[in-house]
Amino acid sequence: MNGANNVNSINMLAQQQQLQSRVKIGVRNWQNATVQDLMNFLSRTTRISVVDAVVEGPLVVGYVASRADAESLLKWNGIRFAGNNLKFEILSGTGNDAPGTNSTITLLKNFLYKRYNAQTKMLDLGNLHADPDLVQKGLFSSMSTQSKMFPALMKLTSKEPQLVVESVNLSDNNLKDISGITTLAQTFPHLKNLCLANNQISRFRTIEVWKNKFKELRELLMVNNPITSDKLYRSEMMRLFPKLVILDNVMVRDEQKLTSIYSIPMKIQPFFFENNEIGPSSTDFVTNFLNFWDTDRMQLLGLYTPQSQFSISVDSSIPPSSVAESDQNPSFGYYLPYSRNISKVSSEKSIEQRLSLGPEAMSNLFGSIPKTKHHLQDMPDEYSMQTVTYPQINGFVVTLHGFYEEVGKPDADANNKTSAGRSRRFNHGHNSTNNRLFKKSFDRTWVIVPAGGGVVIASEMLTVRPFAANAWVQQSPAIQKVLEPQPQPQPPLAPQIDPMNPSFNASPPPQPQMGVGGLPVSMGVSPQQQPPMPPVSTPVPLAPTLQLPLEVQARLNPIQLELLNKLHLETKLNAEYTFILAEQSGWNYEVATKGFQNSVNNIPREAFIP
Amino acid sequence: MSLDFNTLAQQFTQFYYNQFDTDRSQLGNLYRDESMLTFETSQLQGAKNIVEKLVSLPFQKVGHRITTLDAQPASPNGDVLVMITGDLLIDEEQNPQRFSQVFHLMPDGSSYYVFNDIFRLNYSA
Repeated sequence: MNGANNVNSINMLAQQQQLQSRVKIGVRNWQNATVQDLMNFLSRTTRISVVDAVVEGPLVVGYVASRADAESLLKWNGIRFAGNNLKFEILSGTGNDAPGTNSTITLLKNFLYKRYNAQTKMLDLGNLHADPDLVQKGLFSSMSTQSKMFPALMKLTSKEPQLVVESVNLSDNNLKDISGITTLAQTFPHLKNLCLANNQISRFRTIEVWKNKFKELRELLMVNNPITSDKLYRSEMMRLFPKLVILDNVMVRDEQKLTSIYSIPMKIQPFFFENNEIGPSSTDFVTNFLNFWDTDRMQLLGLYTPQSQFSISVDSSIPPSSVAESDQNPSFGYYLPYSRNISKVSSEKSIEQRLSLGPEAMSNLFGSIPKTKHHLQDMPDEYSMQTVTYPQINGFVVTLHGFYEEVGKPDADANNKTSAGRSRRFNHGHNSTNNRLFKKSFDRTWVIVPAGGGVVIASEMLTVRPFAANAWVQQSPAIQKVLEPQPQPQPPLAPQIDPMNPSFNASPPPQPQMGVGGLPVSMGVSPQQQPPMPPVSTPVPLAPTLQLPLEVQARLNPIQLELLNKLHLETKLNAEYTFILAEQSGWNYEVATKGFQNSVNNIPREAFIP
Repeated sequence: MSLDFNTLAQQFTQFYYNQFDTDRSQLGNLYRDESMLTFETSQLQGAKNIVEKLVSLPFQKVGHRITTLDAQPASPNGDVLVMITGDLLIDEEQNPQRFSQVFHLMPDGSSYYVFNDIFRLNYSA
C-alpha cells in the first residue's frame, strides 16, 4: 500500500526540483484580452509554457521552467497581441531586484510564489536556509532566524488569496520543535498533507499545540525526527490529528470507512417519511460506528468535539431467572467506576467527573472498558433501533437496544495496571469473576449533528445491563413479509431491516392475547382500536388496488381496514406504503393525512399505485 | 446549563412517572403538538395522540421504578436528554417488566416539555 505514496513522494520531489529552478516573468500591454487568452497565445506562439499566471498591477506575472526559457521569452518582445505590443521582463533570479527594507516583503512574496505549485496546491518551504534566493538576498542574515522568517511568510501567505494550499513541505529546516511554525495552523486550518521530515523534533509536548487544529490532515510525514522512535508515536499522532490516514507512508486508518462514517447524508424532513431518509443513513452510521467500536474505537475520537459528551450507566439489577438466557451472575467491575447513574450515585463530584467531555476524556474512558463484539450485521433480530429527528439543531437522535460480547480486557487494564492486576488476582484468588467477560445487554443513544460537511456526535449515553434475551425477539415479524419483496434501495444490513422504518423489527401490532408471560403492554395498535375478535374474512370492501397480503388483512379489524382503504384511495399510495402511513400515524386518520401532505414531495414514485 | 440538568432530569422523571402511575390521562400537559412518542415500534405525534395511546395501554394499575438515570445537556439551547432504565410493575404481576426510555426535554419559558419520548421494553418476566 506504500507504492502509491512513494510515487507521490517522487512526484513531489520532481515538482520541488522544478519549483526551485523556475523563473518568474512579467508581461506588459496584455490588457485587451483575458489572462487565459494571453497564456494560450504565448504557448501557441512561443512554445514556452508560462504557469501560475496572475495579474499583479499592470503585469501578468507567471513562471517559466528555467532561466533559458525566460531568456528566450525576452526575444519575443514587441510581438503583437490583441492590438498591442507585448513586453516581457524577468522578475526573479536576476539578482537585479532593488535592495532595501521595503523590498523584503516583495522578496518574500516572490519567494512564496516561486515555492508554490498551483496544480498540486503545494507550498514547498523545505530547506529554507539553502534557498539560493534567500541566501543571496541576505534574508537569512537580516532576519537572522527562521523563527521570524516563518511567521512573516505565513502572514504574507494569508494575504494572498491565490495561494490555495493543501500541502506544506517543511522538511530539512533543522526544526527542534514547532514553536517557530505554530502559525501554520491558523494560516492553513484545512491542510491535508504536511511534511516535517528530516528535522530534529523530539517531543510530543511541542506538537500538542496543534491538537484539534488540523482537522482535515490526512497525511503526515515525519521520518528522520527523533520523535518517531518513541513507542507512543503512532497513537499520539492519531490522537492529535483525528483524520490522519497516512503516517510516514504507512496507512494508519481505513480511509474508506472513515469517510463513510464522517459523511452520512443529513437530509431531514418532518414526520413519517423522514424515516425514508434517516433510516438507512442512521443504520449505516450505527453499523460503521460499532464496527470501529469493536475493532479500534480510538479511531472514533474524531467524531467528538471538545464539547461532546459521553457517559455510561450500569443497570446491575439481575433479571428474573424466568427470563430466557439471562445472566444471573453479571459482573460490572470494569464499568462501575465510571457509572454515572444519578439515581444511585450521590456524590456531585462523581456525577460531574463521570460525564466525559471532549475526545481526550473519552479516549481514557474508551480504553478503560472491555473490548467488545456487536452482532448488528449477523444477528439483526437481536437489535432494535429508533431514529427521531432533532430539527432544532438539524440533527437526529438514534437509540439502539441490543447486546454485545465482551471479548477482551480493557486496554488500560492490560497496559498500565499489570502489577495491580496481579496482586488483585493473588489476593482474591477465585474472586476474579468480578471482571468476568460475558455478554451484556445495552441501550445506547447518540445525538448526531451535521458539522462542516460531515457529522459529529454531540451526546452519547450508554446503559449496560446484564445480558437477557430481548423481549421483542420472540414476536413474529409478519409485516416484514409484506415489505421484503419490494425493490427498495437495499439497506446495508440484513433484509430484515425495513428502510422505511429505522426500527430493526417492523413488528406487527401484536395480538392482544399475548398475556401469558408475554407483553401486556403491547405496541402498535391498542386493544381499544383492535378488539379481540376472531380474524374472520373482512366485511369491509377494499379497493381492488389495495392488495394487502391475507395474513396482514387477517390481523386488522374492520376499522383499521376502513382507514387503510380510505387513505389508499385518497393518497394513491400502494398497499405497503398505505400500511406504513397508517401504522406510523397510530391509525389516526388526521395524523396520517397531515403526515402525508407534509412529506408528499419526498415519497418515492414506486410508493404509488401505478 | 447550570440550572443543573441533573436535578432537572431527576425532578422531571419523578414527576412524570408519578403522574403516569396515578393518572396517565393527565400527561398531556407535558407534550406539545410537535412532540413525538416512539412506543415500541409505533410512532405518534402530538399531545392528544400520545395521551390517547398511553391511556389505551392495557393495564389498570402501573408503577414505574427507576434503576438507572442519566442526563446530558443536548444542545446549548438548554434542552436535556434523559435516559432511564427501570422496572414496570403491572397490575397483579409478580415480576416486573424492564424498560428503557429516552426523553428529550425542551425548555419552554420556565418549564420543560417532552419533545421526544422513546420507549422500549427490554424483556418481560
